[in-house]
Amino acid sequence: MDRHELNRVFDQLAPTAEQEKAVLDRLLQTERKVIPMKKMRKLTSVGIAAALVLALVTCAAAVSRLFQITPAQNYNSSEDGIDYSVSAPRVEAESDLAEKVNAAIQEKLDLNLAKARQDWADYKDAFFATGGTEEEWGGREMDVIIDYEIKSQTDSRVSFVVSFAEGWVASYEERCYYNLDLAGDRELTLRDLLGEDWVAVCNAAIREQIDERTGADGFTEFFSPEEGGFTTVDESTSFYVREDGKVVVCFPKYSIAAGSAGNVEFVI
Amino acid sequence: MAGAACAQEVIEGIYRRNFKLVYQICLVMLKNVPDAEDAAQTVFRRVMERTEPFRDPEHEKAWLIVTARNECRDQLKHWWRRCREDESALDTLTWEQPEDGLVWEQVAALPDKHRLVLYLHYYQGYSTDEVARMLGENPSTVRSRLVQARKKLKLRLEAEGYGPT
Repeated sequence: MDRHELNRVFDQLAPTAEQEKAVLDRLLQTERKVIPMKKMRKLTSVGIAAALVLALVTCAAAVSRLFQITPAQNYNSSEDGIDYSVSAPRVEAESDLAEKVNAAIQEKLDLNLAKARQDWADYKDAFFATGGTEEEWGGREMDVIIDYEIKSQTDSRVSFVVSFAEGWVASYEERCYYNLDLAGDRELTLRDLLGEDWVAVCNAAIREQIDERTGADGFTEFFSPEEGGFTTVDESTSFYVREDGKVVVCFPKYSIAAGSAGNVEFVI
Repeated sequence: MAGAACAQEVIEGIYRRNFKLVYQICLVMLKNVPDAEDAAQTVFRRVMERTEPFRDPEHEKAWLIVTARNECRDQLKHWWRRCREDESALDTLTWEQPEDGLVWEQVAALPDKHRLVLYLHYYQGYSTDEVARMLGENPSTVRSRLVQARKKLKLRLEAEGYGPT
């Protein structure tokens, strides 16, 4: 069964026009007791007009936006023991930046899919090379999940993350962050968002939050600088912009803290 | 725009834009047409009680999804519903093709959390991170529910002799 068949089933769960009207009538029953029908009809007309205005405003907003993020590749499939769930974005905009980012996403996608197939083949080879049998192998499967999330967007800027994950006996996840200024046709940097002192500002906020997450007994999941923990941000540090405009700096799992901390984020 | 002072025309606009979505969520969660209608009505009653306007259509939609989920969850927890036999309710739905009914039976047999995630991700097109943020769940939990739901569906449909169309 594929997504199309599942959606066909969900499609058939849609209410009929009669149901829609009946529930609305019940909902408005109380109001009808106090609102004369004449006024009701007028209000309905105003409601339709309001809905049209809202639709026009929404369309206008969509038109004024310089870009759109759309799911360019969206599929679920199974092949050779790998279950794929892919939802990869595409930046729809007439700009060099959009083309560059789309190409980068496609390259990452191809690399990660190839890596997943190779990892799975290596695991399978090792399994049988070390005495595993077909019976023991059974129906083992690997999950490959590629997904994205828009963190924030305005008419000309967008911040989103694409995650590439493998799930099997081991797990692996890579996240790529994209912060685009479509008006300026360039990628945003921490300097753009935090000013010339961005390194000092980030480092101070991160150190403060690491201290806050350190227990009274000195226990912390964060590695010390000597153990390979956090020292400073630089141009390669990942980040995104939240809906409230705050910058969030991100570090991959295991990079500056124990695995139990997961992917680590600091709000600057 | 909402609350006791919320204009009826605004409510009607919200209703017309979102009734299908809210009703489908309620039906996916409750698996029963009359219960889904009642729950959807309650959700829009709550819209009328709101005192804050929605920021934008996306906020409106997300709020309705969460409120519908919460309303259905409350109903599912209710002792009366837990004691009631509701399997016959599945028969009240009609299908374009017989195999659609078979798929729905297997979807309906999944836990309600799995059904909701399937609907929001595959039908509504939300990414797993968006679903997680909306429902207040961990993104990895949502992904794992999707994977589990898909696997269970596949196994159950295979057991029923369902083949690709």
